[in-house]
Amino acid sequence: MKAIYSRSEKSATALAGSANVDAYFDDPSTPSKSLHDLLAREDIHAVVVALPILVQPDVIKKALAAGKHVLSEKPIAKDVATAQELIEWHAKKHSDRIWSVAENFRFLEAVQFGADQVGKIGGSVTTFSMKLYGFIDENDKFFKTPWYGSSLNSGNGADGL
Amino acid sequence: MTIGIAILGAGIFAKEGTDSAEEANVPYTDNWQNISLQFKRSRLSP
Repeated sequence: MKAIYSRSEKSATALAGSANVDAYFDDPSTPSKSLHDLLAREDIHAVVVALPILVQPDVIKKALAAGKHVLSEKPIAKDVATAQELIEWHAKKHSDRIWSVAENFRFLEAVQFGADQVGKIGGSVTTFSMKLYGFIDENDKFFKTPWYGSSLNSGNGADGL
Repeated sequence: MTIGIAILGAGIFAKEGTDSAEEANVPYTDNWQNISLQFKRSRLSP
């Protein structure tokens, strides 16, 4: 772990201090402390993107364009169209860099088994869909996040509430 | 091989953890472990 970036100095320095790594931020604007400066570092090979959904696509593009491997939190973007555009952009422009989405369900044994069976038939799995129905405690910290709380965000919990 | 990594998004990371941590059965309080797991699965580390 080399560095932590947040849009605000307060968030960046708080977490960076506990991890004893360098802090980067864009607010307030400070020389040599921006996201651009972090992405210019040659000793950083990969980044983890855990930003709000609407911000993520642009930051993912910036990181890939800077030559970094990217692990980004789900969902990829606010809607399918934006996500598809980002996937195609990565395939055309920066496929030599690994971009992975932190979606763990694809590693479940059941999903892996399904993929193996499809392979035996003679195909390959390129996508899978999953529908979950359940209740969430309104005091749950994720219930109060923008992703769960707004139906503007595709694939969120609000769709099923 | 050792890779240098950076986290982009300290606010969400510190306050909420990562949503995928739940799926990976990793405690929200142990995001560093989750990152390691994710990178291994993504084949970004040996």
